[in-house]
Amino acid sequence: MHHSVSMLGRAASAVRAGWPARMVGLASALVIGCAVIGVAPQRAAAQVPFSLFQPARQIEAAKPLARDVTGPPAVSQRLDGTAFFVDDLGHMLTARHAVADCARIVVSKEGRAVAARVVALATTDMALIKVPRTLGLAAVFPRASASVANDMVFAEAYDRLKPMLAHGGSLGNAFVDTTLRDPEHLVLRSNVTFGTSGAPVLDSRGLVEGVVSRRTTIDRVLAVDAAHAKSFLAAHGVRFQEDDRPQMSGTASRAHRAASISARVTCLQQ
Amino acid sequence: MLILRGTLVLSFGLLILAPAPGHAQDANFRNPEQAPPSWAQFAKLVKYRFEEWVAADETVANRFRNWVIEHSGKENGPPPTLVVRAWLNPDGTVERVTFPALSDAGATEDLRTILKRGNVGEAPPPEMLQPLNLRFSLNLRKP
Repeated sequence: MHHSVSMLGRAASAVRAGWPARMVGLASALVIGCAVIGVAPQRAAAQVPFSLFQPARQIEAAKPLARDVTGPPAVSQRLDGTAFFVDDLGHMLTARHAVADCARIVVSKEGRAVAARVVALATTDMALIKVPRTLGLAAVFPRASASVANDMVFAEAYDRLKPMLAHGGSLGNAFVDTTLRDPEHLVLRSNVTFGTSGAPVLDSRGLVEGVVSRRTTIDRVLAVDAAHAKSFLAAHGVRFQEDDRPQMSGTASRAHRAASISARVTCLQQ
Repeated sequence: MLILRGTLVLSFGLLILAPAPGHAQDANFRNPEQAPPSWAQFAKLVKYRFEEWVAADETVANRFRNWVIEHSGKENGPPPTLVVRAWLNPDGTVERVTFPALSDAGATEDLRTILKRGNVGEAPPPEMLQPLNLRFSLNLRKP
């Protein structure tokens, strides 16, 4: 048996937006090369050290993890988050708060930037957006979530992946925390920060166990769990992939897979 | 506007793309349904990257697409299907690609350049059989 896939490009036209990202003409559906034109300030590589023993937790208000960035005068504010592809048609999942009430939404990956539209906002902190064509590999969800306490997972902001990959990637940077019961969230011990909203939580099999929502304490992050994410996708007719078998070899970097499936999502507010 | 479109058909391992009925299947060959999901996911990634590179808006890819558009359906044009074998390095770069020569040496070299141009972004699963056998069918169709 064989896979059949669409191939090849389309003609190209770059559309300039008021904001300094290059917008790819979607009607012409050109795929542009891979030169990185980062538009958000990037931080130094930050491989998170792992320890089962965390310092005393600092209590703070729950914070959405989309990053506020002051934009040029035409745009009063922009929020950078992360989104990931859930099919080959350009549907992406992200955090609701990362794309709600935006004048424009831009998805950026590997030097390309395309306009996205909101397809649906979930009642939980989740949103379905769409770009005209996929810019990456589609995520695979578990048929049944098997996360247990202290499972190592990976979740990171798209903008932080590149420096992480340059240092060889990562098998994981967070742990599942089951000390707090939450019916619709996966609770992680993680110190990811701004820009991680909407990022996929990848388990050891390379399957998406959740969608990062917000931080509740300095080292505790909530992610909408895979069951809710799948229900949301199914309710909107998205044909996502499910499998319980490992999608990656045991030693493969989850950071690399995260980079293959995710992208930066920018909400431009006026 | 014409859209150059194609399909890519995939298998893993050495040489055998479509074993004839009754032939014992080579131990060094797997079709996607028999292969571990990690192989299939990696192959999808390679497929996606090849699509991206062939569709890129740069000189070599533009020239190759123009050649296909101009010569499609002609005697000296691209074949209906093209089998490409790809070997990938542990760092995700494309080590080698082979495919039957096109009727135009320049187009052949352009396609080779395109398919070897980048990094697919992930390491191939260490146990995955190589090469990946990819069958392209290049079609032109209106959007």
